[in-house]
Amino acid sequence: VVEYQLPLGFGRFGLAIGAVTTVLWAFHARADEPLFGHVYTTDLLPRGKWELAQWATASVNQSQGTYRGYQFREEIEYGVRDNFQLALYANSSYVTANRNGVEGNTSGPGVPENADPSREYSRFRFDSVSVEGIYRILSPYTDSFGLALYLRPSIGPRLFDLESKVIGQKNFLDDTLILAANVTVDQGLGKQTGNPFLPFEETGAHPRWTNASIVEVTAGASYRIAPNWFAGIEFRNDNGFRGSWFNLAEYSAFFLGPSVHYGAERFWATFTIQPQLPLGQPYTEELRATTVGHRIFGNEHTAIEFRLKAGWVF
Amino acid sequence: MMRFEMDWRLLALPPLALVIIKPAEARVYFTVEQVQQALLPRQILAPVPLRLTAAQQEAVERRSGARLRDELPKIWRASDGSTLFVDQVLGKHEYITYALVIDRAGAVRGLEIMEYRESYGDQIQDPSWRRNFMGKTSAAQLRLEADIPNISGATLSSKHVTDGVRRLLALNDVALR
Repeated sequence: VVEYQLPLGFGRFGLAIGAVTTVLWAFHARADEPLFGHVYTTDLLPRGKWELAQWATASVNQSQGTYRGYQFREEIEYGVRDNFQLALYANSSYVTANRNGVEGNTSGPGVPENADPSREYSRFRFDSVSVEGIYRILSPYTDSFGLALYLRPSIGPRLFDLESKVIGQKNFLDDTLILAANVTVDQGLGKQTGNPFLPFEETGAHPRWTNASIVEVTAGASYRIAPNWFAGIEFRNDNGFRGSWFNLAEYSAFFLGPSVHYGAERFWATFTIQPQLPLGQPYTEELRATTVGHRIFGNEHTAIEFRLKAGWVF
Repeated sequence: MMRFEMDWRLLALPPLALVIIKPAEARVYFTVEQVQQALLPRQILAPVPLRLTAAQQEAVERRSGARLRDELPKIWRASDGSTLFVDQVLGKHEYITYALVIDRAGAVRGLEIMEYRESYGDQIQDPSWRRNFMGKTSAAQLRLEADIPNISGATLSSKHVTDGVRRLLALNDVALR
């Protein structure tokens, strides 16, 4: 388990450092070209081509106090066939939080239950390794629309997870306007540390594995505004459930924001901003307690999210 | 009270990345002079000024099923009656510049890719693929995966070049014959 403390000061410029890391990484590396931060398209690497990519996601602010969570992904992709692509990536994260919970306690995504609720928490850690396969059934260039299937198992010291996705794409105006939509199902096991601040007899007081599942619907539109440049908008609806098989609906959260993509012969970058819309629906008492202004916080989401992806062809 | 503190410096980073990155250099296979010599050797070429009426534009787009670009192709008439077009179509990132020769009878006699700037897909430069266009007229279907084979891994480029040839054949019929 790769897990260590970083000085608290790191959090102050973490957002900028994470993104600069991404930029620097791009010089060594690339992935296939995503027009969006979250929505996948059916464009894949041609057979025999490689790409390296770096993702950096910053999830910022909850209902109060300080919360910043950064997720990093280092990825290598390979075109096995023209319609089948494989990727391998490592996922890590850095979290800094201080009295950000609805009740003024230190908590949130990536903050373990045994963190001191009255003090600042900061930690960088390795999360998991993922293998991603995408198989394209229909191409938007030669068929009336594009269709692809995606499967991604992930494994880590505190995580076993399987994400599957259906990807649709439709192009208009000589392929200068791209519409894409995904339906994603994520089923996984997460290891909880246990909360020593709870009475001993309560379930949450002890380390344990918990099951959860997510159904996410995303959609985006992106238009080629100039050679090399696409600008667009993307929407995301994230629905969380307790249990691996959608046993109990916990919440529904909504995001909408702009995305910009730059692509050249050997380099591409995509930047997206996703503010959480005040349309969130908590379905359990626990989630209702972490919802403020119709935004879902708690261990699920933040007020706004930034994502920068960069890639390099080789 | 909800606070929305944001590190606005992050917004400066994507432009910064683009400033640092050296722009891609185009792969130039032919200049205009070179393609004139390659496709129409020993011919005297006279530039043909072209202005389309709204009715002609509509006719070209209807016949070809492809949209006309704002910038019309450059055109030369050869002494043997052939017509040379230098035109552009969209690649994945930038424009692909290509040259097409249509003979006096309205059939494709030559096709060359002049500039290509994409990460991959430069197989459209292969003579074996370009030969599929030879002899085609505006009566031909000229559709990818119908009478023009798709280049796997270069689908967008091969589709757009095919659409461009179909558009120029229609333009030749409507405005130049």
